[in-house]
Amino acid sequence: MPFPDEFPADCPFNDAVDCNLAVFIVAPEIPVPEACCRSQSEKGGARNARGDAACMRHGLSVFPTTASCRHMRDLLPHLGSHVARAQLTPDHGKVRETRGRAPLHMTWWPYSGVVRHQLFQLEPEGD
Amino acid sequence: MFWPIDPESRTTVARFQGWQTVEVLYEFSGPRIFTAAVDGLLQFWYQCAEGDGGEGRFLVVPTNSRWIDRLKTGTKTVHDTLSQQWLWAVDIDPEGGVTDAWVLPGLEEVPVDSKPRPDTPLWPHLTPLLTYRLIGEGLAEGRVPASVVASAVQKPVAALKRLLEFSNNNIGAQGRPEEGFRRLYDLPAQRMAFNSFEVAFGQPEQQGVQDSYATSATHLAEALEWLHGGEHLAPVAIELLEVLKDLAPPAHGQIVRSEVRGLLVKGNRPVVIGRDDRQKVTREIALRTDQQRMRRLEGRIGEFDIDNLALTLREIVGDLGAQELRCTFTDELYDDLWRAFLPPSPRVAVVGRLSPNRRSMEILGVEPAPLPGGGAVLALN
Repeated sequence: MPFPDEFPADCPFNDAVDCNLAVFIVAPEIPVPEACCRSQSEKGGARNARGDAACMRHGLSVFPTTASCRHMRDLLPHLGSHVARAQLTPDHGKVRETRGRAPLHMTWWPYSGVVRHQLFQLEPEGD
Repeated sequence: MFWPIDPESRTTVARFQGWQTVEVLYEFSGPRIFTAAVDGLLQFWYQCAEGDGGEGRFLVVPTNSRWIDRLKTGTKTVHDTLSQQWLWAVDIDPEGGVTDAWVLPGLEEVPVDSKPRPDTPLWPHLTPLLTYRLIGEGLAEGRVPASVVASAVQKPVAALKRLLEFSNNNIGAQGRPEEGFRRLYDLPAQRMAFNSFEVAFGQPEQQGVQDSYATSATHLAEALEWLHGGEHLAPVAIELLEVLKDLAPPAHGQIVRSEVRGLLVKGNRPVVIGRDDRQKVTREIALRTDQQRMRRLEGRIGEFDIDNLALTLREIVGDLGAQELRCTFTDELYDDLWRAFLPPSPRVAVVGRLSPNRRSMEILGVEPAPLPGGGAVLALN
């Protein structure tokens, strides 16, 4: 499956792997709005990015754990009050740990045609 | 689009033009929290709102490298950082150009959904294992009695020790705890705050302890659920009741409530424990007469283990049903017990708590015992 045409060459990175994990994001409401699953590029940000950043801006940041997601919800409450979960499979694109950035998280580069926001469901509050 | 700000507080955007990122502190789909330099002065920028087109609003305060270091170690929170007399709101466009700016009277004027929760650290791994807060009238910075400070530190440490002993089947006060076990509960005090009085205990540095805390968190959740649940819930183990008693506020005095939260507390949401909760706990402990473990015993100290803070009490008089008993004690009692061990090894009366299996006792106090048949009491010193 192809990535969107606007991705730079060699994007995503060679060491990005097929999706096969659960990921978590913060959302203002459930069902998750489409706007929650836009990349920096789609939102018009980092237009002058160069090098690795030029590829990173086409990916979506996601958390591999609920704990980090809940921490972000408390730290940046304007992003939303719900934690949402998606089970990503190889059909959904590629993913890689976002290096050199705090907090620890992943970048997901979705394939064209993946309806990203519909993959997410509410994650119940728990441990 | 963003929350409205009084136009009267608008200020010149020139103050922020040409800002340059110094260090990105929190990045998730772009920088959210960072330091920036403007005219050589360091500022702290916190994203408080975001538009669909990449525009954003930031709360901005002056800062310095020493404060940022404290933020990175968890001794200060992002809320602490923003709680300053000089606070601005700055709007930027998707290219980072400053489009508007206001002077804000204080962080309390910012909507609650546009600022961090007060106790949230910069990074998730800085989240305290346990935060213990004591709430009472008149508690504020500069007006916290030493007794309150002592309670805020000692009570959660005692509760955590008891909880870990229960959770790790290490029950019974084994004297001087092994260093590894001691470090599980003798945690670094990461942060203190004067919103009443609060101590946050950070995670230990040793690796591989997550399982110990995971089990303890489950037991603590069980105990708190019993405490605030209905009467239909099955009673919890007496050891967990004692944990709750450690965490509860005193029955009288300035402190009227306590609050716990942190990684050990389910969902990391504050749980309040009041005086009525304490009454429920003490009532339940009183009902467990078959499990009451406080004892007063008289005997002679036959053996003394300096390394493990333990001794053997012999020629016991009391309702124990045994002639000798292994006992443990704390550093505070070392001198008195050591003198009682030395010849002529006078008889002593010890008060303490039996272990659940009745095979050892934690000594809480000691005094000379009357001589058999009456007569003068030999002094310990």
